Amino acid sequence: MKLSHTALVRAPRSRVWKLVTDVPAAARCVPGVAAVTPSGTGKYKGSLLVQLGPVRLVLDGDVALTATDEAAGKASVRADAKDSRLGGTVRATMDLALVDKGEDTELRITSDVRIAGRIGEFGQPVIQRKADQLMTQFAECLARTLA
Amino acid sequence: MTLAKSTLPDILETPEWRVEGRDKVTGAARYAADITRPGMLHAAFVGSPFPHARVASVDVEAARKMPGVRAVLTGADVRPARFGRRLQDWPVLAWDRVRFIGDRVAAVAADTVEAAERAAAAIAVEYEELPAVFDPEAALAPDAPVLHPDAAEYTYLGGTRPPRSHANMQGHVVHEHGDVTAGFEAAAAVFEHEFVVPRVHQAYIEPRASLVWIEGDTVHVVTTNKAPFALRDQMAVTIGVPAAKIVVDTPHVGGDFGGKGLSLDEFALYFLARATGRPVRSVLRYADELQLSNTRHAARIRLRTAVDPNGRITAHQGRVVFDGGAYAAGKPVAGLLPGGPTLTLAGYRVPAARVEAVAVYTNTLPAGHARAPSQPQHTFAAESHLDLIAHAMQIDPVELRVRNAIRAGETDVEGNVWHDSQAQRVIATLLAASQWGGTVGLDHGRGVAFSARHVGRGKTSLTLTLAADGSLEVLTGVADQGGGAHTMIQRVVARELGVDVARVHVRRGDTGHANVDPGVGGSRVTPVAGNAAVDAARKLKARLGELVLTLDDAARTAAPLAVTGEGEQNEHVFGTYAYSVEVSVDRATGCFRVVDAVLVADVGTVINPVAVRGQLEGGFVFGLGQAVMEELRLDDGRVTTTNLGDYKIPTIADAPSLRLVLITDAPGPGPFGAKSAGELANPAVGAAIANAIDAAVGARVMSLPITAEKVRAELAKREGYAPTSPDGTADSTAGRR
Repeated sequence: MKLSHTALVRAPRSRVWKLVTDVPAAARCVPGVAAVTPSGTGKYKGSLLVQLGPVRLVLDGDVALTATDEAAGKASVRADAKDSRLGGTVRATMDLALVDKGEDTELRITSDVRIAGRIGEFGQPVIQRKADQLMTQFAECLARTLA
Repeated sequence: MTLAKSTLPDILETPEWRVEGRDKVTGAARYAADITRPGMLHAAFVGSPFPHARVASVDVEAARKMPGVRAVLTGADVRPARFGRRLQDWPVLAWDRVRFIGDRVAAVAADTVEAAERAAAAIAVEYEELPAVFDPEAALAPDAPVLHPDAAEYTYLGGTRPPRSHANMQGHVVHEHGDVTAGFEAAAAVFEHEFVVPRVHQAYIEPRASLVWIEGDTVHVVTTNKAPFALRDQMAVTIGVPAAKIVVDTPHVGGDFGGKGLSLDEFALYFLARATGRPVRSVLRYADELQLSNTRHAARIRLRTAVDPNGRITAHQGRVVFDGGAYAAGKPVAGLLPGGPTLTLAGYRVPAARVEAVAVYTNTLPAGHARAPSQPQHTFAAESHLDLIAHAMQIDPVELRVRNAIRAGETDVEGNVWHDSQAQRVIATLLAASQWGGTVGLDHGRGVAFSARHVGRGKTSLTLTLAADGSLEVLTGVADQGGGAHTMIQRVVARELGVDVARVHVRRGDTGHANVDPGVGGSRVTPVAGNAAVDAARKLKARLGELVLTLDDAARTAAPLAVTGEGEQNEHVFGTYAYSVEVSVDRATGCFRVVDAVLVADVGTVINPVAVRGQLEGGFVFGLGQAVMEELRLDDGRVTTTNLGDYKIPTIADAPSLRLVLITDAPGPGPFGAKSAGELANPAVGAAIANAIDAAVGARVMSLPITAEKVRAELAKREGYAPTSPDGTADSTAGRR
């Protein structure tokens, strides 16, 4: 499933770059993330709690910064997670691009998300809505943190 | 003849009561998932998250130690067991390679469903992803990844697998008759169009369920499979147990619509039952039904037709590409294509034709049979194509069909000569019933679609026993999948013997007790099992004649008296039918509504009047769902419509009124002149609606399902304005005329 999100962060690009490429710091802006710990160069372990209607998913997994190009303002993140209670895996590849917008920065995130097993059965509208919600809150949090 | 002439009214004139009706409405009827055994375990499976991957390792240690777990099996434990209805290409559990998302790699048997599922979730599988292919045309490229490199090992049941020119082909067939080149050269006009039909699910209410146990050296199977004898024979090959040592029992089936001829779980359950010594059951969740089972094939259909100046077809070419999914296991026919793969212009005279059909492996869930295999795809294409031809040649669409509909003695698109045809009568009846040519309201339009479906062929037998109490018992292997088969048999026997229907009891037997039957399907039950019922009744009458006894005297003095009735139907006979559908279309939104529908169907003699109506009305609504709302959507091989909220099927609120006109006086080869009805109505609905929408507002939709969005997009193209953007900024009234 391909998702794309755009958000305007009221801070200069260099500051936004610093924050989004600091995985533990950026992760604090994702609602439901708990305990992100380094597990190697550019690699982290963490867990994300997601509430989908009446269902609570706990996604445990790995996050890795797979590519960074500060000059171009581009970074790639790969996340692999598993929910062992309900059964299912999520694999997401996210490409981040930061674009100068005067004094502000536009954050563009294109994600390719593969969901397998039971948690993939929620139906795309539900997943899309949840992803939109997480992304909006993520961007708002980034803006707050940098304010 | 010693039988008294019946004074009863003709049974066939009286609406029937279903043999199983009381049990079904009171909840007494038992379905496969209702059946339990002492000590029964429950199964759960582990499916692949990748569309194409090598299975590097499967770690079951943690799962084996979990409470309540009795057995955990992987591909290594079942190798080389594969299953399938004709080609056994689907591993019971994958041991080296998975080919679609959900392809199973491990199975668990545990005390409860929950324990089995917890254990399945604890199995760790390592995969190495392989390049996947989702588009059938891409799968036919010379350098496409090969899905089945080990195809030479596969068992093909009943003969030799037909040759293929590409490793990713499941089946490939070319039909040719007449001088196609000359037909095109002599043509006044040639038309070519391409149509797309998506994957759809049969959407029966009851998910697949099965229970397997081993008693002594006999394997017992309770299943939702509608063809128990065929399952027994397939299973014998897959598990290596002689067919005589396998007993398959199919209780009432909660809906089939062509999908329940393929079993998925029974084979793995056998291995689990063998490993544990206990009965093991599996009931599929509906989400798995939508992700694993044999859907109708998606198809891309290109039709090219040559016509003379009067619109008469002189030659026809077709190329049909079916998306077969990861396995061909769901296809029962010899060519490993869905049935009737080259029937691209059903019911028309086609002097010369060349039609090529291919079913292709892709890394998606396997496709198989669904009510009238191939025909909804073909009829949508053919009847849209003919309407486009009529429009271009300025011939009334019904008149074009009159000019081309097949008459007795003429040859159809598959090169078969029809010895009888009611096609002209069906169309003439439709003209009158629908008042074709009359005026319709603003933005209303009418569409017509005509088609044909063969009367089922095959062979079966059943036994009829006269008991001492005077009752008559029929023992049949025909499963009850809801079509009314047992009631049909009861009424045929009662009518032939001139007795009250209440005196005839129909009992279904498992494969250990009943005579061999090919299973419900292919519009076969009434013409084949019905003929066996007639034969049984006639044999009993002959026996009574020899004994010079009446039925009642024989019951008292000679019972039990048993005879075997044989039924066979191999004639190439077609039933034809036609729809007229009226729609109203909202030009601003593309929304449309069916406001009236007329169906004329040539069904021959009616045995079950209520069931015939049910089959035709149900077929219409089934066809309507697939015409305007259903699509099993996939995203990189993963089904995204995994529940009946996302995969929409029609409810009664979606069903418009349908007027039904039956032609019953042209006898067919079934009992008392019956034909078939079960697959007669659904295929032509899509084209009738597409044609009606085009007639209403000039928007031609070339793919199913026909949605408001597609109608709106066609209107926009035609009228040269941009459709409303999702945020609603464009002027939504711009398209109004």
